[in-house]
Amino acid sequence: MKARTEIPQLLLLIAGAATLVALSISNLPPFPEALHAPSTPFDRGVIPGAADRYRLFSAAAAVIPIGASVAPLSQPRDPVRETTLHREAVALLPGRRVLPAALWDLPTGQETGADFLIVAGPLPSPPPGTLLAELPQGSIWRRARP
Amino acid sequence: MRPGSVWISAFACLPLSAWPLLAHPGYARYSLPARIGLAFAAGSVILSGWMTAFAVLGLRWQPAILLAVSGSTAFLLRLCLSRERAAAKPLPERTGADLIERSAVLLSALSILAALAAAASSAATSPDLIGFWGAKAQAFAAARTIDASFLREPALVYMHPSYPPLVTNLYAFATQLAGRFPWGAATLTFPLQLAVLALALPGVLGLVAPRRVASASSALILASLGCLGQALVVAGNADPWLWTFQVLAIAILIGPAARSRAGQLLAGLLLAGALTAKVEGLLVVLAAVPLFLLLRRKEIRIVSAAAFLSVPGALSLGAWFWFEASRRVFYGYEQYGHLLEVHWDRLPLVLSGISRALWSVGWALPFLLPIAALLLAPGKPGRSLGIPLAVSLALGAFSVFNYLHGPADPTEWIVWSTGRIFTPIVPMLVLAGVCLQPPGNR
Repeated sequence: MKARTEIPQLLLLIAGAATLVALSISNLPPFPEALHAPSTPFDRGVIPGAADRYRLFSAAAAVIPIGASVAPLSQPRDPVRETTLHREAVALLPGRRVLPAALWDLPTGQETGADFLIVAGPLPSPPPGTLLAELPQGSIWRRARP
Repeated sequence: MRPGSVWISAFACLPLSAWPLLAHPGYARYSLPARIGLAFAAGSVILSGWMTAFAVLGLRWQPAILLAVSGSTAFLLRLCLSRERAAAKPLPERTGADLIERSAVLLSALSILAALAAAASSAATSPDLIGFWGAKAQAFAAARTIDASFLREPALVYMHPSYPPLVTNLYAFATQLAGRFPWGAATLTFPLQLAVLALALPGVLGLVAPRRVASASSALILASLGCLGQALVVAGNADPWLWTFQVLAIAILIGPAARSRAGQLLAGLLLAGALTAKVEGLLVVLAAVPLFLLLRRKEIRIVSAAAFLSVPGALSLGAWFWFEASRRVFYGYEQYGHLLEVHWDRLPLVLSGISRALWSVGWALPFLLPIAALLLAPGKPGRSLGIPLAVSLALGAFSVFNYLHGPADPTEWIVWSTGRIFTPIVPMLVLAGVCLQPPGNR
């Protein structure tokens, strides 16, 4: 019996690779947009709001000293959002003690022990302390101690 | 230099640290690019292994010392192969590349560039990078060890304290050199791993199949992984590292290099990399090693082959489990539900969910094209074919099994995890096609 040739397999391997490369390229951001470096690694990411929170926590890292305790809150308060905020704050505020206001979507009340608060969303009322920075994404506060 | 540039450049230390081993004549049959790619992968395993060992011993990490110890280890491993010097035969002189080979090189380069563009534009950033890979690496770099107190912290249990340590170790190593963890640069590890595969894979497969088949198969693997990695947003997480170790290890095991101690040692190091990159690596090893020893028993010395293939992984994973247990972080791996509590009634739901998840990635083309290439392969099934197929089966079965005994409704879990868990199957199918070459073709 005559042996099968490798040509069909080779053609499929190359055509398949070309198809998948074309698919990858077609899924890239539009060319002019892609030429601009993103301001955060999450600008075009799959997590809603991650880029905004990255900017907020990066700004917080500039004003909250190493070793301080900090709690991220949402405004209005929402334990689901605050669970996410805590996880991202742990990553983006190295060297600080990040206290969770919520864990696994349940409030913890631990924010009362924090020296600093990061509030994602509009300015809280009444103010929780001294305003250190205000950004479109939220605000950073030194907590008023009784 | 900016921290991001230093961070990504730090990975150049990896091939340098393993070069004393890869410069051994036992690897002379591989091309220089292949040896550089293999040295990168082997260097990753050796360096990460020492970082875990230092953590076990309570020694703080110092990059210069880690590199010196890793380089010395590579040199000592080379001494294990000294008797193989005469056995290594260089490949015949290369003649000019034909159209297929040139197309394969072009497509491989385009795959890497597309992955680079996706990562650099933040379109492929993994949510797990900020969730735990980067956060852990940063904490470990600051502590200059695997920080057990960080892993034990109840509020941080979502960071999967039991996950194996290779990726966080290597990220921490680069972070120590760069001074901080640069989140954007970390996403570039996705195209970096594709580049490592592009360097190494054609040369490794060139010992198994004709150059044209080796180049074209490498191109399809790179295009599939690039496409899937972009669609499944893996930039910065551990998946691309697993792909590199797994693909290169299996590519060696299906070829003639696996008959030699040099090939077995290298495959053993790569399997250790798979084991310590992601939990799924354990399945790869459990499927591949026993089957290799069984199917190719007439070509090898069973005891020494078993040792070369198993000892690096046993030491690497053993050190991690020892660290976990001795620091009361965890025992073994996390489980989803009780092992024997399998909800078979969910099988239709799970299978349809998996089908939908795979279809959602480019109409399942990255999965279907390798299957088609396998079906068109011209040869008869050989002994090595079973190895990549067994790995595919193990990974697929593991995924289905997990979904059958996890949370009550696994639909959402299937949506975000199936693509990534099934991705390592894709290169295995292509490698199976490489095994199916007529004898005269090899």
